[in-house]
Amino acid sequence: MNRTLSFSDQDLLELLEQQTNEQVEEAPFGLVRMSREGVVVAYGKSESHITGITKEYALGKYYFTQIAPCANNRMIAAKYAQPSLDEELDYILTYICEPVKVRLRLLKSPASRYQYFLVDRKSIA
Amino acid sequence: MEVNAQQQLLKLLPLFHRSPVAMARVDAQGFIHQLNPKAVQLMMPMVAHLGLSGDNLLDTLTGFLPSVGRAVTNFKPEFGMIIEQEPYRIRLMIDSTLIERQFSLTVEKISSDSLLIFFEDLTDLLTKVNLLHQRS
Repeated sequence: MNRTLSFSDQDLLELLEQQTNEQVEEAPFGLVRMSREGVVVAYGKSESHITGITKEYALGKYYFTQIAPCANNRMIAAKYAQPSLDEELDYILTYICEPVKVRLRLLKSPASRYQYFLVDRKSIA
Repeated sequence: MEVNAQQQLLKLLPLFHRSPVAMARVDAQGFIHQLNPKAVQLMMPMVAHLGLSGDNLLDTLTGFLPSVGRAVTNFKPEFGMIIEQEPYRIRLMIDSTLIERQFSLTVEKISSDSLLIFFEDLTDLLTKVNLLHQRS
């Protein structure tokens, strides 16, 4: 599993499902792996750089209520109730109190063990 | 003493970060300088509905409530309360679903080029209050 992950890979969900938590943490873009209930299982280093939140703080917490309340709305969090999800959109996250423009990709499938929240600072439409 | 003040300020950050009220500091044109997660949570569906970039909170609010933009433009003093806990109703589309939310909005001018904006989604609270009234 040496292929470099790319934010817009067509088969990214399939690739991510084969990654260990340690590999997920090394992704070249912001990446959060959650259980299907929304609990953080792996928190990428790039994600920490974007949000200022450490892996140690994030692990084991409900992502949308405890870590990223800014995404806890119908545009983002509610979409994970769908059985299948692969959507990209422009959004804003906060680094401490500063707004940070990002491109998000939301991923899950009926067969995936996890659901994923991806953040890219470089490819804002 | 200076370190203490800085430490105290750092301790204030979680309050700002976890506040259930949306808060933002914007310049006189409405461009966002600071905002908390609640502000992003409430603002982004409005931004998406209007097709804006999300840089400007006043433009976003004015897109739904033109009177807010007029109140800010017409306010001439250097500082003071422009709008204080005024109730507003906003209708927006999210993924082809029409959503109606009720907001309370406060806008305060703190200098010639700085506004504080506080807003709160009261929809769920009002629904609960109505239920209570129906039961009693």
